[in-house]
Amino acid sequence: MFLQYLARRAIGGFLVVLLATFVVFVFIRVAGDPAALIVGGTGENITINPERVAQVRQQLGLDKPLILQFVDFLAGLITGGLGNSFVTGRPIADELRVRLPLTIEIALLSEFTAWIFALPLGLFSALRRGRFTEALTRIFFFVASAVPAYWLGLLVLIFVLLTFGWRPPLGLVPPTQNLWVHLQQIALPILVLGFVLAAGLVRFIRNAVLEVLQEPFVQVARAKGLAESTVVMRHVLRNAFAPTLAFSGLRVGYLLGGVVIVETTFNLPGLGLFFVEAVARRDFPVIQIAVLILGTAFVIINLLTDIACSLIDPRLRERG
Amino acid sequence: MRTWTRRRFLSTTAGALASALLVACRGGQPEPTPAPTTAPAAPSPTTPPVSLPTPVMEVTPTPTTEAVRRGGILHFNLPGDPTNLDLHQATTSTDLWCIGPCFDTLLQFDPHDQTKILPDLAIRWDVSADGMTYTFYLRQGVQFHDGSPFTSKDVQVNFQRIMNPPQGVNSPRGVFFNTVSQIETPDDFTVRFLLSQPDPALLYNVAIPWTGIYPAHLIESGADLRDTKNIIGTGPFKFKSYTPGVAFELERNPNYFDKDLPYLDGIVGHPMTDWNAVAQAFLAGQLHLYRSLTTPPLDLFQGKADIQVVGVPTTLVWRLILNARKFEPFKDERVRQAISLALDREAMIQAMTEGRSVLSGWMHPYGAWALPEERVRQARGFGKDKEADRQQAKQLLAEAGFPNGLEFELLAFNLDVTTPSLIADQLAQVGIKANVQILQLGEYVQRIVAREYQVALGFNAPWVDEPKSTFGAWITNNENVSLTGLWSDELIQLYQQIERELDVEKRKQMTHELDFRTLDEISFGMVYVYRPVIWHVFRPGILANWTPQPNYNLTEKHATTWLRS
Repeated sequence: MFLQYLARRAIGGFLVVLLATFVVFVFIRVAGDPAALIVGGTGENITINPERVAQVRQQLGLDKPLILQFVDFLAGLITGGLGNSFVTGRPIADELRVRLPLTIEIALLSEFTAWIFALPLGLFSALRRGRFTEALTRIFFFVASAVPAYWLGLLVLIFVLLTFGWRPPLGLVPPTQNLWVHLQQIALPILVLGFVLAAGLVRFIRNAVLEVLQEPFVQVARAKGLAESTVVMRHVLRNAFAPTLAFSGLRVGYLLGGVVIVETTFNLPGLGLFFVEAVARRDFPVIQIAVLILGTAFVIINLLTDIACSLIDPRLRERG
Repeated sequence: MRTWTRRRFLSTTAGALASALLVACRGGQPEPTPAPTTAPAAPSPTTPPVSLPTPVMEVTPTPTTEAVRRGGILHFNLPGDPTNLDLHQATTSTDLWCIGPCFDTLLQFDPHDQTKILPDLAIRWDVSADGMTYTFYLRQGVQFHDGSPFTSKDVQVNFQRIMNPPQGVNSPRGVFFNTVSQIETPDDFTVRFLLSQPDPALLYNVAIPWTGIYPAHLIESGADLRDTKNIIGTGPFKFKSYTPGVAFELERNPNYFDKDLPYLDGIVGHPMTDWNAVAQAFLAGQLHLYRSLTTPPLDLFQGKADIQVVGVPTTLVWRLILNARKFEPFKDERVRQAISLALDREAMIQAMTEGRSVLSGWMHPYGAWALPEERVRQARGFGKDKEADRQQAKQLLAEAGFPNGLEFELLAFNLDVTTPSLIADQLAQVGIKANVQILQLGEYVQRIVAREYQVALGFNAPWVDEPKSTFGAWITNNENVSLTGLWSDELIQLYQQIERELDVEKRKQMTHELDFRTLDEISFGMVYVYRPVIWHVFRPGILANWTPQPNYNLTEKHATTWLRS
């Protein structure tokens, strides 16, 4: 039953990714011609020879019918890997080697940091509802949700720079090479993004806990004479956890957006910038791979979230 | 202005600015060093190539008694990752900053004075009396990074590749050599360019760093020169490593032909798309130098006497392209004139460059061909009395049959969103409604290529401050090339004379004439708007023997740059 459910979800996910890839494939081809950009450099040299543009289009295979181009792209994926960038001619796989692990690292650690901020605060604010101390936590999440990550990042960087004359070392040193420098490079972006992500999470946890607190089984637990901490930890938190996790899973897009922003502010060579530059340059193969990777990540994370939720809450599994 | 997207665009389009090779800024005297630098060893050319330099900017001179400190790694920002590492195909400053130091050219611009051409791989040259033959005598004993010797065949094969690129290679500067009919190699160290017509611009074009020389065997093997393993030249630095998004590293070439150079052990370019990050990294001492097209955060540098911020007018000029094929009224000269009269160039210089740019013609104001400012001011729309200009513009519109003004679409790309709105605002004051449409660069270029615009805001971006480079692309009556569908046969004739004129003084006078008349008459549908600036931020106490230039493309070899600490 559960396996069947998984298989259904996996097939659905695959189709979603395929469809997204196709839609983007078609749309980017409508909005701008990479051949013109390649021939014309970067906009300054606008006296472009149309013959050269046609020649480059042919070299890039852009003169073929759309559907053939898409089939070529899929066939390339199956047989020969990710292909090369139109613009730089470099293999996309080479670019991903540095960028993908970094983006995953920042995304995971930021989300983790967000939970570390949010879980105690959310719980605290639900349990202390209506009291003065709750007001303080509310101020926290109002501020955090109002502050954009790039602005906070900038503020933190300038503050640290002007106060201590310090800035994270430029570039990116792999953790295997020098863990200490690596940590200096990623610590601030993770804290900043974690803080911003925490805002929504605190509010959600608070509401989820409040909702569970109203449930009859909590009253039963209390009536049984269980210690309040046991009630909270075993009954309330566990039940509030599943929806929060689901909420977190649905926010993958938001998380990835945040990663792009801190990557820019902190100048980290992640996927975000690479992909956005590809859009501006109309670098079709890179854009397609981007959609493929992000779409797959989105589908997998949602699937994992569902699985995790059903492990926490057996009722979800039965509903399947 | 401070949105993420804009920064991104600045980074990609820095390339645009990159391609502008500017002339002329003379700074402090290069200090005497224990050994000669690249140039002085060479004999003087038999024919002096360019007019006298014009000093324009005083940069803290280096004390002349100071001894050069060797070693150290120079760190600077790159506005993004390089896009094309094949020097002959590349178009952005980022590309050039990365690989330029790995290559030498036949001749080179003086890194301290871009109006001077110095020997490089050619130690001297001569030009035949009819201007149809250029002979270059090559330096002997020069080695490529792969150990192969440099000979005349390398020069021949490289220029043939630039002029007639093989399938799959895009050579944007091939057109510079359209007058070269043949390249001969009488012996291993002599190269002769035979021309089909006199072309005084040739000496400039063999000096631009984009015409660097690769080993002939590498080109003949058909290797993809975009690949980092093929970054092989004779230059003072060798390719070391490249990690996308992280760093582009070069190391000292121990076999450089000038045994005394370079002084630095290496160069590292850091791709950084966020200008705040760049400014902070500079303040934290992580960068020795940073350059940008956006105004640096001047407040952050205030009170820091060791930091110098220099804004230099570039070779680029913002211009309005009036497409008469898509907007009939532009066929009437009075309408075009009204648009030019409506623009307040000085207000734009104030607003957009903190007053660091200057009013000039199409040629660079500090270059050898500059149109004097008093002459520029005589052009219609360039005078001081803006109110009178506006009145005249309204009158011209009325005479042309548009007493209630007119309306068109103004196409721009998102490198700079303020300039188009300033233009629209100024046009509105004479009753012209310009509907600004800001596009992403890709879409913009596509529309330009298809000539699908009424008015477009774009750059005139010469690769070097030289008349052929500045005017060649638009002083034309070729329907396929013209962006406007408008031209003046008389001025085209004048341009053709400039192209061939060997007498420097006559050439200069004719260039002034063409420059003035294209500002004044708008006969080609190109309206001069203003010249932006390039910002250079550095610590003169640390960075030595380096001069900020109006065009940073020409200074990127760093053979004689050194660090005090």
